[in-house]
Amino acid sequence: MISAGAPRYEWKRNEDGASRSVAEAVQIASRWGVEIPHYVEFHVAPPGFLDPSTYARTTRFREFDGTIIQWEAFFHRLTGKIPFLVRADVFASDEAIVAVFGHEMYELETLRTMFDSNHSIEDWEAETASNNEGNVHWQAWDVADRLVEKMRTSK
Amino acid sequence: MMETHVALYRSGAITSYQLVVDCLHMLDPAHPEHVLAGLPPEIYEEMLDYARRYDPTRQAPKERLMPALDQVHAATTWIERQKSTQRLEATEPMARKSR
Repeated sequence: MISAGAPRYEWKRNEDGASRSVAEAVQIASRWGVEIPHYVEFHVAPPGFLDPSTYARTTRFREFDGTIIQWEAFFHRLTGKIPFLVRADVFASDEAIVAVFGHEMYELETLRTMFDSNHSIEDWEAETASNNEGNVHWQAWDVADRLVEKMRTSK
Repeated sequence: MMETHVALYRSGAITSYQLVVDCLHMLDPAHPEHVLAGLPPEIYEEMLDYARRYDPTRQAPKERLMPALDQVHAATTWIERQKSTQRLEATEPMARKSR
């Protein structure tokens, strides 16, 4: 498969026009093989909160070069979960749900091993940047594309 | 705008760190109270921690938009002033009693 810094498929909106709740979206993603750790929580982003090229994201760090990002920093102090904000329009497409949740979970779990070994913010950004060919972000879109292919071929 | 951020934090949708950084980015150094006055108390301590780590002598990274020094400084000054005012208010009745 050719790696890409963005999804290759245009996700289809649900035929019945239904927009899923967060709980429904988690069920749908899980049904198609996305492993969602118990310490992750998804939320619908308010309009305009995420930039137009972002489908979902967790905490964005703003530190000087060389700063070590600790895994614990991703957790919300009140809920004990890692929050992800997801663009509202994602919930109107089961394909988008599976692709976006799959992408984010692949990225998070792959990068978790980096945080365990004390990597700097630059290392983390290198793996999540959309313009760094072959990095974890690109691999995560491959995973997402394969999930969408599976959904389409099984119909 | 701040109400949205605080609501997202309280509902668990963004971390305290994210709230701190977003607030600093939005802060007008001439009027820090517009952003800071409505924050949950625990955020002030985290903001002070961020300010302590913030080293203005280091070069800002190219691909990562950091809060500006005057924003961080204004936030620190405002929070410290609030803390000292509250301390004074809290100790005043005791001081009066002892007179």
